[in-house]
Amino acid sequence: MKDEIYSLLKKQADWQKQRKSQPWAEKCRQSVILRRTGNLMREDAAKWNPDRSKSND
Amino acid sequence: MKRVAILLNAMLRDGVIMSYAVFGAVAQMRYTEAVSTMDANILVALEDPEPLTLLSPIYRYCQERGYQSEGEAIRVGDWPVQFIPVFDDLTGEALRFAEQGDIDGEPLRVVRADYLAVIALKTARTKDFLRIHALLEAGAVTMDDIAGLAAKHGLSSQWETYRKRFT
Repeated sequence: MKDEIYSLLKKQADWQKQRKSQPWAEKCRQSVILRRTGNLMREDAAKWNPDRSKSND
Repeated sequence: MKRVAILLNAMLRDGVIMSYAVFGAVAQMRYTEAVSTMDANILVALEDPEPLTLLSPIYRYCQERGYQSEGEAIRVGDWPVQFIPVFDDLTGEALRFAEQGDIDGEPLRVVRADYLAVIALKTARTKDFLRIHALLEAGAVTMDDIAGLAAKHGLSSQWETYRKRFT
């Protein structure tokens, strides 16, 4: 799940460069990703701790 | 969202609803950057004025086409879609003056930015105030637009309170 969350966060970082100028449909797709990222992070909250995961790697 | 647009246009064509317009966060994103939201809110006008059975034709129509209900919403692809009947003069007017947007080539009716802002002003949760701020920041609406529409719908004092606190 951690890899999936990182991948979704990477997508979000890429969007920051474009933000408002994108087509409405694209922003709706981004919104789905934002929701999914939030849901996954909440579901995985007990394990989702970047500092701890780093030391475990 | 294209699947949602296709479904809504089919409902309109088949006479299940008299009109519709997207509002809330999905409508906001027409003007602002993407925001996270749980569902797509659709303002609808229906012929049947009976409150208890108002949404039945919509749910029946969706279920007949294989869409499953999810709480109060209908799941359409990635989106839980919540249908909200027009509930006051403001939302009635918002629906009447809705614009036509475009989702990947499919038309999608959408509430105008000034109505989005004033509906948010009336609803008055923290996320609604953020919506007004985002619409102003995006240049989708002006303070004068909001002030005028708020006055028309008896929301001038709410607008003054917002303006003093946040602008």
